[in-house]
Amino acid sequence: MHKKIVFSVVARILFVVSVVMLIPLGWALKDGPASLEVRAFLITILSGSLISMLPRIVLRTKKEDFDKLNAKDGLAIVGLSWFVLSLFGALPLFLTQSVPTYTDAFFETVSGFTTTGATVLGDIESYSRGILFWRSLTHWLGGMGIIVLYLALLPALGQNAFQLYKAEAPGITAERIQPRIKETAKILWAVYFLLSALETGLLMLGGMSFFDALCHTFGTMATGGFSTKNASIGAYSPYIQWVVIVFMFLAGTNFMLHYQALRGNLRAYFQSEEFRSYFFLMAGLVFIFTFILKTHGLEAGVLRAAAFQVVSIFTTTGYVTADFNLWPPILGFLLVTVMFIGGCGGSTGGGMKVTRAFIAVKVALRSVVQAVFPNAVLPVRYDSRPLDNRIIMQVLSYFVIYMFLFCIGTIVLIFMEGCDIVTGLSAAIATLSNIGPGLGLIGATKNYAWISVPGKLLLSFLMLAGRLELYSILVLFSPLTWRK
Amino acid sequence: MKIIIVGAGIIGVHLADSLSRENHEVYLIEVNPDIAARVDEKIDAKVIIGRGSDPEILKQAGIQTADLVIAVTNADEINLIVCFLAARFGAKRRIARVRSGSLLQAVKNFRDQQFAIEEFINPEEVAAFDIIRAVKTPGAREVADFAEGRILLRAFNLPAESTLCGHRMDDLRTEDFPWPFLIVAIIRSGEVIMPKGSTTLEPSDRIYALLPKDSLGEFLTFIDPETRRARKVIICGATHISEIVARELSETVGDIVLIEEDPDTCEQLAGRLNTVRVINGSASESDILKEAGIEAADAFIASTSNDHANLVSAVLAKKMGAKTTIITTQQPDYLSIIDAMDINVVINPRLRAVDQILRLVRGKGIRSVINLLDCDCEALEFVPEENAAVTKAPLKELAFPKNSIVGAVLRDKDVFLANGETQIRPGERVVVFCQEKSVKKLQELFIRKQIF
Repeated sequence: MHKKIVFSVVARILFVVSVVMLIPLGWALKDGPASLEVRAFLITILSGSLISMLPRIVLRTKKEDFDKLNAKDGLAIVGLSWFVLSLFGALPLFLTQSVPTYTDAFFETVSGFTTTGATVLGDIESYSRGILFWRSLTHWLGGMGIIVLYLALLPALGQNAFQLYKAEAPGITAERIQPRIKETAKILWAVYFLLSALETGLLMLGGMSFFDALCHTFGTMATGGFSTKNASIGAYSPYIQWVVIVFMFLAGTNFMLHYQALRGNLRAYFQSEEFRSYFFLMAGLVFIFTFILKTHGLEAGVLRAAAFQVVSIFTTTGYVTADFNLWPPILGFLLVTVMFIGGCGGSTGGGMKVTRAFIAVKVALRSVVQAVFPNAVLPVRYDSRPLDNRIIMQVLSYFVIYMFLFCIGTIVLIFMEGCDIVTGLSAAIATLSNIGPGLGLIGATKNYAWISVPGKLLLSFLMLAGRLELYSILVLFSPLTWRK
Repeated sequence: MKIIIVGAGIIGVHLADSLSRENHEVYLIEVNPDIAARVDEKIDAKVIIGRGSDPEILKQAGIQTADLVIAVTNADEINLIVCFLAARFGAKRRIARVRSGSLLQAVKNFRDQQFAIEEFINPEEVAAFDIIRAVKTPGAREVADFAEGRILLRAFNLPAESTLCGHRMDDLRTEDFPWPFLIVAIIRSGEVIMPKGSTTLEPSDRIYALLPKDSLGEFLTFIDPETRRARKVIICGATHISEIVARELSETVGDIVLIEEDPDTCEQLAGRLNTVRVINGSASESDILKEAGIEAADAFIASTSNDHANLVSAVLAKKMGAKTTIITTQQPDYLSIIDAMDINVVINPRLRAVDQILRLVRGKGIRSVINLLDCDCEALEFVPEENAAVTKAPLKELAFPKNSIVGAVLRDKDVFLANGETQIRPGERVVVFCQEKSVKKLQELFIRKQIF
């Protein structure tokens, strides 16, 4: 690893986030110029920008140095930046004493950046707007990706920007919309911004205040789940709930497809096999949920409640309108199963990604057919193109590591916390797949405040590993990375 | 600019790398998925897997709106088809690599109607003329010509017996050295030095000198008092390059021997070239080299398609008494290790082709670009436009980028070396030596200010 380059890039990214933090500072200033929040934000911004200047003075990296960046550095930069940003972004929460310990603040920030939405805050409505805004803003930054934002805004890092882009962008293949990564990053953020603006407008039409509309847009578009209300989206009208359903769905879709649609090619959506699987699987689940809820005697707004919960969990957002812990157990189990799949590649959604899940299933089915016809040549197709064996191996090993992390996470959590199996299982997958609420003690109406310090650190690790698609975080733990 | 490059070989990849660094929008089309995947990681360009001769693939790269299409696969036919299709689809400019001499001639004759190719690149031919130049300048490490061969750039490792050793730059302008030449850069133990008046030359310095064509003979005697014209040349490998070299050199060099391993190729070659003695055998065997008369050879040229064979035979030939050794390489990665071996001139046909194409792309004001292999420097030939900043004042009053030297100027068929008092006029040929990163700034000096 080229430590010099890695640290200086991480410092630059820290600087970007320090600047972005001026927005919640503005909100805090508006609410009370002399408040604790203002001081907390000021301290954070100043210390952040000072620290980010240090490598510039000490290391003096030259522009040519960045050409040395390789795949390992790319992974390390992404993993390290997310970790550093979470440590740093936790400061305002901690300094305003919004949370009892620094670990809580760190957990909350990791949950924000990774668009998980798992919270340790109890009575959300009692917090100041500055803090709430920062919490939601971390979602929005983490959704499309801080590194991608950095690539879009700042001068090019040389030829190797692709290594960074690849390490942060979700999905099996990081594709270029434009030949140049900088242009690709700009387009992604522009589409993201456009959809966000649209949602904010629609939410305000439904009677939300500008502040709440922004915070909920951040939560939706990033498939995050932080709300400013104790009852989450349940506190709002059916119209607003439908708006949120639609935008959660859009946020879980590949943004390349949105870009093509914006350029007039609406057919692109259904030409994509991933989108078709995503759409029809979700539609099927909504149908099943509505049917089962109906047979259990629920009447008012069943379709809306079913649609909201399925879309919210499927896209890994984690907003709630109903306490699904009270629903029939089969539905709770279905929701947990869906948690593994997550959004599409190139979306802001978490989870294993629809493509990977479907490829894994296709490979499994192929092995069954192969057992019957031992000599048949059976390519695995996706988007009607045969897949390279290397990609299949990548998908399968991703699947294995994912399940491994899930199992270890569950075991350690149940062991440390002494909680029940349902809580342990759902907490592990709800953090690894960046969803937020799970079942049992971390259900829709509860939160993560009761978990011990080591437990929170474990869950923070799972959230980061899930958002950055494992490798960026795992390489930080490998001694090979730190060697020259 | 939107640029589509077809073929991710050495030329294609180097081009894509340089052009994307210069902020062009680059699409690279490659048929081999493994190569494509590797290139995609390395370069900030969009790589498309597929055949460049397939219209669907070209459309995928957006051929209709392309400003420039560069076809550099190793098949002439594909390159021609790509340019042909590009013209039909409406790409603005087209450059094709064509190796076959007769095909090139034929296509050039009807290019306006059929293929509409703007420029042809023939790396082998360019390399062959580089070799010929090197043979005619014994001992030179690098050779390049500007202004149709009237201004020369030559690089030498100074031998200890050279008359230049121990002289300061200022001395070189006095009467002792009546023939004009200008030393534009020195490489001393791996470091590039831009010489000042007080810099002293030391033995084993690598010097880069600009000089008018007429002073070459005298200049060579300054470098090494014992140099003489090449009388015997041994070429190894019956490639396209070798054939051009053999044919061109046979006018001035009395004795040319060509060594080739394949007996059939030998037969054919011997039939075509009657002034050349053809020997069948391997140039890495000392017996064969002896038979060719290596002790008396003034130049040994290894230009087979195998880099390793070229290296080995050149080192062997030097040991056995060849005065100057020249090799061609395919693989740019070898350039740094070749320097450690005792080989006089290394020519990489593909990198030369890259230079040529870059010159065409950068265009405006620049006539010619030479990328010097051992330092990150370039020698550029500019033609100042009317009203360009550089024509407004004497050189010493202009803000030139650091580490750039205005060397020679061609004014009405006379070549003279520039100094601080020189004022450049529009339309002259100006050779500038500079570091790679200053090219853009320099170019701005030589082109007319755009007023919007």
